[in-house]
Amino acid sequence: MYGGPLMAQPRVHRFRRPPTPRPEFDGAGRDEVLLGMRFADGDGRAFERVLADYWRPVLTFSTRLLHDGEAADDVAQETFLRVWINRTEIQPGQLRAYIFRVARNLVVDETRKRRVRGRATDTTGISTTVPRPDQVVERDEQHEAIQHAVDSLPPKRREAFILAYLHELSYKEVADVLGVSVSTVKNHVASALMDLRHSLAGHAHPCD
Amino acid sequence: MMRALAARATDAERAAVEAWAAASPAHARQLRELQQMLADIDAWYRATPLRPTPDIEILMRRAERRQSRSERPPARGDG
Repeated sequence: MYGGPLMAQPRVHRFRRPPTPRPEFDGAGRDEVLLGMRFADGDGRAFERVLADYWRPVLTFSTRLLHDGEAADDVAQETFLRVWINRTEIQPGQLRAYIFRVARNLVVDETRKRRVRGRATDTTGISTTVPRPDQVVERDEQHEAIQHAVDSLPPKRREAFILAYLHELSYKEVADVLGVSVSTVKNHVASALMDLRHSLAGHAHPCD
Repeated sequence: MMRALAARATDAERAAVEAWAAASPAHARQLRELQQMLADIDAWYRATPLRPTPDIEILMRRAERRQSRSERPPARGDG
C-alpha cells in the first residue's frame, strides 16, 4: 500500500491556472478568453504571453511522453508554430485545449514514427536506447518508479491523467484533446489513479 | 473521491471526501496514502528537466516563412 504521512503544506501546482471564474467557457477563465481573442487577432504580445504560460506545460507533457528532450523540444516548437499559424481558427475559450491537442497529436505522430523505424521504444513506449545527456534520466529511485508506473498506463489513460490531474484541464478540455467523451475521460482518470496506486505500492517517499 | 483530490474539486466534493475519511481510521489512512502518492507524482512531473523557452521573434519568423511558402502559388512545371 502506498504510504506516508499527509503533507503538511497544500500542494502547489506549477501549471495551475489563476483563480478566475470559468464555467461558461469550457474550462477557460475570462482572462484566458480575452487572451485567446487577442491571440486570434494576431497580437504578438498575446503570443508572447501564450508562450510564457504554456511553453513549460507543453514541453513537460511532450518530454514525459517521449523521454527525449530534443524530440520534445521539436514537438513543443512545432506546436506553437501551428497554433500561431492557425490562430484564426481557434475559439478564444478553447485555446488551451487546442494547444494540448496539437501537442498530443504531434507526440502520437512522433511515437508512431519511432515505432515504424524500430527505434528507441518498446511496446510500452519506454526508451530502450542509451540516453543522451539531454534525455530525461531519473536519478531518484522513487521518480524512476513513478516514471515506470506512468509509462505502464495505456496511452489514453496516461494522457487523460496527466492532462486532468497534472495540468488541471477540465474533463471537457481533456475530452476535446483526446477526441473522446467526457464520461470516457472520467473513466480513464479514475482507472489511471487506481493503476498508479497499485503500481506504486511500497514506493512511498523515503523522507516521510 | 479521486476527483475530489484534485485542486479543482468543488467544496461539496471536498466535504464528501472529508466526511468519508472521518468515518473510520482506515478511510483516513487510505486518503493520506492517496494524497501522498499524488503529491509525489506531482513532484516527479515538476522535476522534468526542460529546455528554455524559445525566442518568440524566431518562432514568428519561422511561422511567416512557412505561411508564405504555403500561400505561394506552385511554380510553373510543378507537379
